[in-house]
Amino acid sequence: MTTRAGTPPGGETAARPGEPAAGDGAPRDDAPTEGAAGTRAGAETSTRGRSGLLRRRLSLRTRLALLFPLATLALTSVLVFGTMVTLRATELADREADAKAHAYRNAGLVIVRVGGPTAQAAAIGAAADELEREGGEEVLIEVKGKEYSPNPSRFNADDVPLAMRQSLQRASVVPGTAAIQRVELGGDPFLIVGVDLPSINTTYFELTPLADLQRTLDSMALALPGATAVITILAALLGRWFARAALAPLGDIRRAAAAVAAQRLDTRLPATTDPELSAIVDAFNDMVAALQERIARDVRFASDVSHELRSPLMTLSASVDVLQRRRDELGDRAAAALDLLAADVDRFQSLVADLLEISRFDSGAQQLEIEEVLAADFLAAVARQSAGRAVEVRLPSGGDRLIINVDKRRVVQMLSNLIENAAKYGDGVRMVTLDLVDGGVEIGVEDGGPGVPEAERELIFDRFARGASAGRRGSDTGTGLGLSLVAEHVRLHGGRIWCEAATTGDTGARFAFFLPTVVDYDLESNEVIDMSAATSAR
Amino acid sequence: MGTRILTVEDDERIRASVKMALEDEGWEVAESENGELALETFSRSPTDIVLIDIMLPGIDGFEVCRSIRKVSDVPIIMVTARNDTHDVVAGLEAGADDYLTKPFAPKELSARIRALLRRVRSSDHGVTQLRFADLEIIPEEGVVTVGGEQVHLTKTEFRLLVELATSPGRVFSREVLLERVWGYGYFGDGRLVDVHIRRLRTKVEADPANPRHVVTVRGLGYKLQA
Repeated sequence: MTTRAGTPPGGETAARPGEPAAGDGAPRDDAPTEGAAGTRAGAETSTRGRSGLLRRRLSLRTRLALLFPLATLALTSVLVFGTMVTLRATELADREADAKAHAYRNAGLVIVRVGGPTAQAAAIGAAADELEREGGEEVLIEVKGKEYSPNPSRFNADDVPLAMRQSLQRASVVPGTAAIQRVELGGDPFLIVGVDLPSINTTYFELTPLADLQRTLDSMALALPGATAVITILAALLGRWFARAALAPLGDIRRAAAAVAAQRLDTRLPATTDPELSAIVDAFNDMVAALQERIARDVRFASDVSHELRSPLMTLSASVDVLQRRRDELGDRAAAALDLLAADVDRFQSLVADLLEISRFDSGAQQLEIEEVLAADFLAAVARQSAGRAVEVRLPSGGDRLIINVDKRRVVQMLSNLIENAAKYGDGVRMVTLDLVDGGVEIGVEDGGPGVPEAERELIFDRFARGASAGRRGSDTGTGLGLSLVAEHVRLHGGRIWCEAATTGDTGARFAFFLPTVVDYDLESNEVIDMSAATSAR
Repeated sequence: MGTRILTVEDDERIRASVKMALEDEGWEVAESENGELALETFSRSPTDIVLIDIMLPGIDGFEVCRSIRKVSDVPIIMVTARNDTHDVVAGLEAGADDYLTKPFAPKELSARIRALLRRVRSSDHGVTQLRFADLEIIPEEGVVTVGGEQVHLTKTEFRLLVELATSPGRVFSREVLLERVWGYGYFGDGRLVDVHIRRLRTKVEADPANPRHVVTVRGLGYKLQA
C-alpha cells in the first residue's frame, strides 16, 4: 500500500522532507524491480557456469541456432518488463494527478456549497449528491467528524485508511493539502484522494476507480509476453536458417575432407569471394595439394625403384638359369648355394612384379578391361592351371553356361593368388565356388588348412601382412603382397573381399570376393569351341 | 643350320646373360645394343626370331619392329616395361607376334620362342584347300588369296586364319585361339587375339570396319564365315 502526499494546484511543495508517505513509497515501488534484476543476474551467472557443459553437449549448429531466439527472448523480455513498469508508473501518476486536480476542483465547490462552519447537514448532503452526480466519482464529506456520503455502501468513512488520516492531519499544518492513496475495496483497486479543508473544519474525500487501468495493464501483461513469444519463435526460425547458412561451408569442407580420405585426392573446394572462408578454402586446398604431391612422390618412388630393380633382376634370373643347367658340374656346397639363390631370385622377381602392380594401383592409373567370360570353364581352367591339378568347382544350377562381365586378366590373377595362398598356408585348394548373389557373383576359394584366426581375417589383406603363423614359417616363399593385390583388384571392380571359415570340413579357410557384374546365360553354347574341345582336339 | 635369334637390348649384362640362357637351349644368338645395329644385322644375316626391347636409345623398339615388318614376316617378340594397354597394343600394332613383360624368367622366353617356332613350322591340319566366297586359303603352300589376288600375311596371322578355317561357322573363344595359336590358354592376353584379328581383317576384308569373313561374336569370340 502506497501513500503519497501530493501537490496542491497552487504549486506548493507537498512532499516535505521526512514525510513517511513519500519516503516509504519510492523504495517499495522499486523493490520488485531490483529483486527481479537480482534473480536474473543470478540466472546469468549460473548459465555461464554451465556454458562449458552446454558447449560439450550441444553442437555448434544448435548453439548458433539457439543464440538468436535466446538473445531475442532476453532483450524482448527486458523491453517488455521495462515498458510494463514504466507504463504502470506513468499511468498511475497521470491518474493520481487527474484525481487530485478533480478533488481540488470539487473541494473548492464544497467550500462554496457548505459555506461556513455552521453549514446545515442537508446542504452538505445535497452538495455531496451533486458532486457525485457530476463527477461520477464516489464522494465523502466529513464535517467535524460527521460523514456525508451519497452512497455509503460503496464509500464511507471506514474505507479511508488510517495512514491517510494521519498523513492528512500532519498535512493540515499547511491548509489545502491533499493526500492520495491506492486502496482495494471489494477486490477492485481505487484511488482515494483526501483534501483537508481546515477553514470550514471539513475533509473531502473522493474515490476514483482504477479497475479500467488495471484491466488495461492486465491485458498488456498478457499481450506483451505473447508478442515476445511470437518474436522469439520468429527469431528461432531465423536462427535456424542463419545457423544452417553460416555452417554450410563447414559441410562442404567435411564432404571434401571425406572425399580426400576416400583417396579422391583431386578433390578441391571451390574458390569463394568471402575473405574469411577463402582463407580456409585456400589452406584446405593447399593441404590436399601437398598431400597429393607427397603421395604421388611416394608412388613414383616405389614405381621407380621397382623399375630400376628389373634390369638387374633380369640379369640375375638369366644367369641363375645358366648356372642351374650346370648344377651337376658344381660341388655340393655350390649347388646348395645355387638352390638358395635360385629360390630367392624367383621370390624377388614375384615381389618386384607385385610391387609394380601395386604401384600402378597407387598411381590410380589402373583401368578395368571388362570382357564377357564363360564362368564355369574359366574357373575350372584357371584353378587347374594354378593348382597344377583338377579342382572341384561348385556352381549354382544352370551355372555351367553362365557368362560374367569381369576384367579377365585381373580375375585370373586374383584366383591364382588365392589358390597359391591356399597351397602355401592352407594345405592346398579344396574347392572353388561360384554363387549368384544380388547384383553380381561371389567367388570363393576354400582350403583344408588350419584356417585363419578371426583376429587376423581383416589384417590379412594388408600389405606385407602374412599372419602371425605364416610369418614364422621358414619355408615361406610368399611376397606378402599377394592378398593385398587381390584386394586391390576386387576394389577396382567395385567389389568386396573377405576371409572366413571354410563351409565344409572341420578346419580350413575360405577367401571369397563379391564382384558386381551383369550375368547372362550363353544360349549359343553349342556353337562355341571351348577349352575342353580344344584340349580333346589335341 | 640351327635356329638363329636376334636380341635387341641396350643393357649389356642382360644381353650377355640372356644370350647364354638362350644358347643353352641350343639356339644361335646374335645381339645388338641398339635399333640401328639391329636392323643392319637383320638385313645381313638370316634370322628366325627377333626379340626387341621397346626401351632403346635412338630409334625405339616400335620403330625397329615396324621396319622389320616391312621387309619380313619373321616372328617378333617385344619386351615391354609394363603390361599397360598402351605399350602392349602399340607393340602388337607395330607388328609384334607376342610380348613379354620385364622381368621374365628365361624359361618363359624359351617357351614363347618354341611356341612361335612350332606353329610356323607345323602344317599338319589335314586341310588342303579352303574357299570362303572370294577368300581362298591353301595351308600347304601358306597362300591366301582374296578375289584371286595373293595377300601377304605374317606367319601368326596365317596361323590364326587357318585355325578359324578348320571349323567354319563355329565360334572360337579368345582362350581357344590363344591356346592353339600362341600356346597360352587362360593365362594369355586376349589383346593378342584382338590385335591380330584386326590386322588380319585389314588384309583379307574388303571393308575391315564391316568384316564379312572374320566376324566377332559378341562376348564369345570370333568365327570365320563365307
